[in-house]
Amino acid sequence: MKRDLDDILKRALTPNDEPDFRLNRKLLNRAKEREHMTGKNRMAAKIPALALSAALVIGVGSGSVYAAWKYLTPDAVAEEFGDEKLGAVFQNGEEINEVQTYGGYRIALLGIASGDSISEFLPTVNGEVDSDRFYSVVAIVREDGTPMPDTSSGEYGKQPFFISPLMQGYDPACYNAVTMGGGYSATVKDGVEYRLAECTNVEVFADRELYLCVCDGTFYNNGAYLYDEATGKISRNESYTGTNALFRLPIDPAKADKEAAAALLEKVDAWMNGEEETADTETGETGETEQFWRQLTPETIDTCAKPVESTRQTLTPDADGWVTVRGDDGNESGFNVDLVLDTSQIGKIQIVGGSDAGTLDSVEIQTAVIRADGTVEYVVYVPR
Amino acid sequence: MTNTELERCIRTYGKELYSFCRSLTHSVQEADDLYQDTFLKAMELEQKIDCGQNPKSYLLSVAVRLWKNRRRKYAWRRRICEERVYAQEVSGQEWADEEQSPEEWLLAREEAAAVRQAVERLPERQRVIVLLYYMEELSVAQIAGVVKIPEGTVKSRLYQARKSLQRELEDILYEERFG
Repeated sequence: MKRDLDDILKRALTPNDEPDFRLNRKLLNRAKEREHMTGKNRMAAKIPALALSAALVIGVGSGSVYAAWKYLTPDAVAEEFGDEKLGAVFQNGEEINEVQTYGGYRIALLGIASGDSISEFLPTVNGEVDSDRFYSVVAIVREDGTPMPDTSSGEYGKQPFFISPLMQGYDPACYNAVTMGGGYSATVKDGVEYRLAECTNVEVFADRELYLCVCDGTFYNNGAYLYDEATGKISRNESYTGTNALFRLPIDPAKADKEAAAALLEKVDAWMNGEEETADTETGETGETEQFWRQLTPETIDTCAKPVESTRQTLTPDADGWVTVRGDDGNESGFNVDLVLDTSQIGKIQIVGGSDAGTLDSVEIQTAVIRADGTVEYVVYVPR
Repeated sequence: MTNTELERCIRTYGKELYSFCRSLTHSVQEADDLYQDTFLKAMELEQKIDCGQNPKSYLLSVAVRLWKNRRRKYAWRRRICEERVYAQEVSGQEWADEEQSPEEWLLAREEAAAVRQAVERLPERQRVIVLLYYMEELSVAQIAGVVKIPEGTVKSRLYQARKSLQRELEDILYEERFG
């Protein structure tokens, strides 16, 4: 006898995962801290933006470096993302002073930190934990003073930014955060967007000039910077009208390690190859089917698909609203009209389901039209 | 909202919200983050969550919104780094039912794991709807409010999901039950 799917799903999905008491404790502590910080931020907001440069303190040291403006401190930003370990590293660091304004955005480099296992969250790259990492915290505000969109707003991400360390002598188009196991987290507080960006540790290249680029775009923006192949130096493209900040990173040259640098370059090549393989698997046959599903709506169905007349049938709902559909293979399936269809849409085609096996010619779209007499006209469409 | 009020909300909705976060993210770390951020964001957006007004839908809608946004933020990271995969298990279930033999309990546990894995394989837009409908027991209208899509779309996604699950769980659906 057939069992009831709804019953099976309800039983299997009954909420059973309890949050750990430590997690709840951490949450309550964060709520307390946030309450405290909100008070501080209100005061900070009264300080005019022009006071920014005066409020910064210069300082360079090893380990970590951060800025002393009334933005969130880098340790607070790290803790925003639940990384207390990294926050402690920033907290014990020194201060940095660098703000650049390009393309309508004021970019402040708040701090950098690097080292082995200094974060609570270490990524695994190609099966290996990459523990030796470089972190930077950047604040981005609009030059005209309008707030940056909140991460939960639909506007967020419409202006993407790319943040990456770059190394003198290595073409930035090839050697940047994307190819060096990079990633970032973002949050917006009081109209300021904070980014915690990370990638594998670049300190081993400290015997040459090291930079941090912050430009518009999702990936490295070739038009924003110039790479001098003769000297290996990287500079801002002055004629670029978008955002193209470029900071020199104050990293102790004594941290350079040629052997480690060579090993890192090998890794970068491996990561690049690995990523290409991933990209290959992401393209291919599924692309066209996904595109098809994306463009499919009741309004476009007649232009991009055609009905299979042999599947057309008129169904009469039972007392509970269920209809039975006969398949070409003789099998029967059913659906509940009240649950699946918008019953106010009389005479209009509605998509009730669809399936594909990864190729366009395997796509099937189940449609239904509710007639004025209460019956349902069902037909399967396939791509034209 | 005071800490006492937050504690009360955690006690009332914590388990349901956390289960939802675990099933949505597939990762303990991301679930922990999403769970905390949901409460913090909810506090930020609405200074007072009135537990008498049943804010479950509100918390779930904050979680869905944060998750959608977070996926965007972490998309780049995902392409490069392998995520720690959360091996879904049916936690918190121990054999305590006097009327059920240990064998029956074990079979039920395995069945639940298979069902959860099938749900996990659904496309995300269908999975969210299934979790809200079967796990959180929200109505179609409530889900439409949480996910901010028309009710008709909720129904259609639910139908598509049920159809896929029906296919995937055929063995379980036609299995002979105990007794």
